[in-house]
Amino acid sequence: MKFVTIDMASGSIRTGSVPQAYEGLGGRGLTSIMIDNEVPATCDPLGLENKLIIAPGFLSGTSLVNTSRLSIGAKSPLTGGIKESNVGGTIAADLAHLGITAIIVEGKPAHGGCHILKIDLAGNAELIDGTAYKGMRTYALVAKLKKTYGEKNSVTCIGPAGEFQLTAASIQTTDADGRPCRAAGRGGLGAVMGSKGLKAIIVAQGGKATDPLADPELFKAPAKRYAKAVKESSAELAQLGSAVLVAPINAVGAFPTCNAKFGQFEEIDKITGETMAEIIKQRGGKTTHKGCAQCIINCSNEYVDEDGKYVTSSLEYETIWSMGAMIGNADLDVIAKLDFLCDDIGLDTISTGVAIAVAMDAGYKPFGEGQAAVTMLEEVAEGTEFGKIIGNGPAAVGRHFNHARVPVVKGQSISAYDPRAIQGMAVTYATSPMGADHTAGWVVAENLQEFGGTLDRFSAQGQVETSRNSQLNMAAVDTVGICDFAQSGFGAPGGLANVCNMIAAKLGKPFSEEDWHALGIRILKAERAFNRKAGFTSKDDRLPKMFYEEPLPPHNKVVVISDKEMDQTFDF
Amino acid sequence: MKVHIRLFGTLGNKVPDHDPLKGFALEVPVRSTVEDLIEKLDIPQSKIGIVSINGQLVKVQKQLNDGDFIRVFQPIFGG
Ligand code: SF4
Repeated sequence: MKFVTIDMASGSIRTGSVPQAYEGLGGRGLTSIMIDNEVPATCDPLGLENKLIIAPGFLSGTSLVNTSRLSIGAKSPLTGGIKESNVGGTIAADLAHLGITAIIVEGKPAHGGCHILKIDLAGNAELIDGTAYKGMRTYALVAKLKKTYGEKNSVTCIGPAGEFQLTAASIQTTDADGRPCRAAGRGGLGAVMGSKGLKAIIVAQGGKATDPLADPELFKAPAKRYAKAVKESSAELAQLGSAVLVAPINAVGAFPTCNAKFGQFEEIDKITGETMAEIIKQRGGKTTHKGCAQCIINCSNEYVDEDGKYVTSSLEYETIWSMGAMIGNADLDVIAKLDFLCDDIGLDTISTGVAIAVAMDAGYKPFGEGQAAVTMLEEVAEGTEFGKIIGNGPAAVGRHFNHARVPVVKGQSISAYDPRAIQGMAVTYATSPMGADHTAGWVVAENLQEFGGTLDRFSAQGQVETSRNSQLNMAAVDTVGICDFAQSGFGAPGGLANVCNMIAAKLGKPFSEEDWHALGIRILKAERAFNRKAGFTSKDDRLPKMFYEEPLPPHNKVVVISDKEMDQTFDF
Repeated sequence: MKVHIRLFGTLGNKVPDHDPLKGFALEVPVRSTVEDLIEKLDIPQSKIGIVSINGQLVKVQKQLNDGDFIRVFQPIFGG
């Protein structure tokens, strides 16, 4: 249990024990509560007062499956509010194995510069001059760093977009095969890392200093039950990954197409998960692939070209949407290339795809021109004027073209569920302190009666309560560091109590279901308090006009949740 | 009469003639419903999410017509 704090102004590093106020926290709970306590809410997100906090989940490093999830927190330069961006790969497990609860990057070098933070097997941290790596794209960067420092390291880094401090810049981290293809995409945290002059963090793998469990016996049985439930329900994700959602969400008319003008994509059959899997199989790629340490689901894949050569890993639902239907592009090879370019340049695939969609909607290029999208991404890497506009996300593009159809909340784009066809997602997008974010409160299954959900997806009835509960629960899930896709483990005998027992076994004191709910409330309270201090009001918990005014085909519905109802989501 | 079926997700894994991209054609008795079809394919009800016929979402009690294109999806989960 230790904090490693790096002051980028002086280059000094402190390693210290975790202050009492933060004990028992990890992941999002830790990053959000720390930021609310320690970062002045009105600060410049790219200035010296902001902090970049990197924290594995509370249960990362334990024997529980699917717990190599990392939270990265800061004040977001994209939204101007608090941000937690969640990512898999191996770094969360690696940090936890070194007994590191969080890395805190503060200050800012007076004269810029480019640095590498290296943490060795003994847990010692060192700041190295990284001038030789300046401007590099992530795949080349990782190859060079691994050559110099050895394969047995995870690398978490930024590409050119982060160095340019663009607000759609991601932080990329290496997957189980050592490729920088897992992204903490949302919120522009790559720009924060860039502003601190930090190009990469190298963490040694195979540490032996994991925080001991207070009661290892109490942990065993629940962890086993949890793993069994995950395993039993992972067949679809293993075979098709999250892309399994493309066909059904399109079928229900909730797949935003051509900058959310339509809810269905005419050429959907070319980009479904089933089509992707067939292409990968025929070409000799991998449809099932382990992306993150300790994963037993293997939702990842390896997309290859016609010669069987690696293009990208993991082609996922959200990217197939943002670089596919949202820009009217039905060429899966182009989608895969755009996915790779985003990882390599260090860009959020969601924000970037939507930025391109807004540019196309404004008439810059026709929808469906995949090559035009590729050129736009190359412009981001080159740092041209227009490239910077795209790299700053959809709201920046909207301002540039004076175009009003910009599907963002608090400056961050929606994802692959149109709120007009799934009203519950309207509540999550509008009220999450993160800006529009599907993972903050995924209430899609509850909304689709066609799939056994209990809510009418076109009505406001019950939506606020469902989104609230989901958002509070997710805040706790992101704190323990369980993968979103492994939540089937909550269906194990004992349910939530089963998970609480594992937390108690690590903590060494009882942890009840009430404590779980209280944790969610504590986190949302901290996040909302920060945003209020940063100047947000209830007016920021609204969707853009297009969702209230433009009916979405084929169901021709608009968002019907009133402002009053939105404001009831969180009464704190 | 003849209908065309496409099974999504992992539903087609155990159906020998099913092509994951094109589905397959099947002869069914007149007045069959979606439910009958699913039973004929030996897919457990719990594995079925939604069904569409010629692009329109339908309930499993819906009667089939000659030439219908039926898509069967799995329950969803995710994030
Ligand atoms: S299910 Fe996918 S995202 Fe989750 S831990 Fe496994 S590989 Fe990573």
